[in-house]
Amino acid sequence: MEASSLEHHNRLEYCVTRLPYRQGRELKAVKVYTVASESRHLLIFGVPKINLQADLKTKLQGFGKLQSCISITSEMASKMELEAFTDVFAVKFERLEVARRVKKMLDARQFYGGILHISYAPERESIEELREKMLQRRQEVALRIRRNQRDEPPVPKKSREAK
Amino acid sequence: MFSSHKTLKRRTPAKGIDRREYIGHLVDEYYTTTNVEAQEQVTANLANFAYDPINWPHLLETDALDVFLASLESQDQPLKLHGIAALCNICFDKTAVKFIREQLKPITDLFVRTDHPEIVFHSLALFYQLLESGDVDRDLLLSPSLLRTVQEWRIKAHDQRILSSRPPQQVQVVKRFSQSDLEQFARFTGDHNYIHGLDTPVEKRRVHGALLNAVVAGIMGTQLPGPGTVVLEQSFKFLKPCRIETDTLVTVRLLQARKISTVEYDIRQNDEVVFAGSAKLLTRS
Repeated sequence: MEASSLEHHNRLEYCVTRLPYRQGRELKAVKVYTVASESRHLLIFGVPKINLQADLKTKLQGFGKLQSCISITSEMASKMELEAFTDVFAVKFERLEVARRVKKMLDARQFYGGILHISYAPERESIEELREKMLQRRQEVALRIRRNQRDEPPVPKKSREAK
Repeated sequence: MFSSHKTLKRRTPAKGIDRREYIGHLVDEYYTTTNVEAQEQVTANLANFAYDPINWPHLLETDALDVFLASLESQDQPLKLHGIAALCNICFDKTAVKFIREQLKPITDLFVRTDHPEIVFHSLALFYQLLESGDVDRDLLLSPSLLRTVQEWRIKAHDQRILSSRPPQQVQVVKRFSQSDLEQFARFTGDHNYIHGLDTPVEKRRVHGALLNAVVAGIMGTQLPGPGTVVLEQSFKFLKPCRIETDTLVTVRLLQARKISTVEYDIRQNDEVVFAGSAKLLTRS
């Protein structure tokens, strides 16, 4: 893997210049996500280098079925600047929703004295996984539209374009 | 992430503005602010909202699609990135896809010109989704310059998944046809058509079309796919006359390597294509 393709793992700065009406309760960076960005594969940076693989695995398994959790610190050290005395793990979940939840809940949170930094790692997907992910996106969208219509049938409006 | 109508109602404070108004404000701010950073922030917000279909009616009604297009066409790289990501997110909506079809040129122009991998990333996801749903005419989207750009990024990526898969194969041969080649061919085949002979001035004389095809067949049968190959079906066009005593570049490209493979071929002189076509081949087992 080319070093440049790992740029998306770098932590961006939180945005502090948002106008009040659109400043949420939590600080967030300015970043966009699409179906391409999300993945069942995550990289977890900042795990203190004190043999925490088992503890990390246990914590992750609490969110959902974990398929793999391996340390890739040596591989990454040559490609990226890593925080001293930390390990980085490559983690794979069976379901995308679980990966999403893990990222949301654990990113920028404490773990045994270190602060975790979690990012999606779509570059680790196989072609088959990528194809599956794109199909899943289409299916999820269709499902959400059906569900939204069931909960609140659309009110016909003048400005709405006819299908 | 997705929201439902219920969770949105629950999250809106009693005196607060609802999602529809909020999105409207973001769109307004894009147009009224003079601060590029503020534009980057609101376009990122809008692009992320575009991920969830519950927001699509609001985005359409507030003309956020125009914001996405303006963003994509701006000079600021984060704005371009947010614009293309937004379209990638919203491309399953019928109105949005119609808009995208009409604005295909700025979208593909951005893709072909950009050097920012993330823009390429979301553009590819957008194109894939458009093709999968059959919403865009394949030939319209997959222009030669677009395909060339895709191939360039594939090579640049040095990605193990690409390198370990069978690389697209190509064989190129440079040939030079002499008058005696033409005479030999004419004697062997009986094609004494004067357009190939000395009676025609050399600048109007042309190489036998069948000879061109025979050279291509020679490459297919000896180099790509190689010995044992049997041609099942062929199509080709003679686009321009092929001249003698001129360097002629013959290219055969393997498109699909299966039991029945597909190849494409073309012959060029002076950077102009004189002959082009494709074939289905039975490969040796």
